[in-house]
Amino acid sequence: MVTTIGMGLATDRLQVDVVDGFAGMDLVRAFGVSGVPTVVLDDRLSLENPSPDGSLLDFVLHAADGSRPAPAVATVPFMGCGRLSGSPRSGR
Amino acid sequence: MELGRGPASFFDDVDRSYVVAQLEGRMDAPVELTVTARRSSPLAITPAAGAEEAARAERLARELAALEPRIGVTVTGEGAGDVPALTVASRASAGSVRFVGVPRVNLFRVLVGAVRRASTGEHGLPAGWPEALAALPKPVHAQVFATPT
Repeated sequence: MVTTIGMGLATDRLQVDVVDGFAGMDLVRAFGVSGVPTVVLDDRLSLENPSPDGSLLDFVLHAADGSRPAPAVATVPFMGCGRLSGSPRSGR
Repeated sequence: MELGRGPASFFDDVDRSYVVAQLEGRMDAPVELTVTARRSSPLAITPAAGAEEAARAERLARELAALEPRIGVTVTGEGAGDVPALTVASRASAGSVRFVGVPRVNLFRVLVGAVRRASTGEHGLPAGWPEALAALPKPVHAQVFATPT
């Protein structure tokens, strides 16, 4: 999350919203977000618990230019992260 | 409800100490916090949906500004939904970040960090990333879903 915020501050080409999953439950449901942090780009590309390495930048570059191949993304397992109860894929 | 008393403070002493430790002497350019929230008339018998959270968002921003003189606050109802939002922007940073919902606990700390980073222009990105982002062929909208804890 901290890296994504830094990306949003660094450029006006990337608009970053940090959504409190509890306050924005409608969005959580709409995007089928099941764990946090999850990054959704342009309402269509979703990356769960992204690793703050080059894959996050590649992910954004791919969103901006579909001709670029989708990156082989790195994610960190959700073990140490939160799950959103009540979201469609949480299984609760 | 106790008549004659204003709304409770958003910050406790721990929060205030945290803000001062994080921001005092560590900011450069001024930062503007824009609260986008649906305000409710104090005369309304039934507050508008989300009015309570909107009031909390505004109180958070104003208390933050009271602790750090380089923070300014603007409150607008334009484009407001049921969930309030706080946008962090500074002339030291080309972009801005918007927090949807009132940032609490960890998200509050993230907000304070964003204020400092916006002010200093130190975004903590690897070399080459700002240039790559500035050259994006079209704008991209990122939504980062998180929880306060």
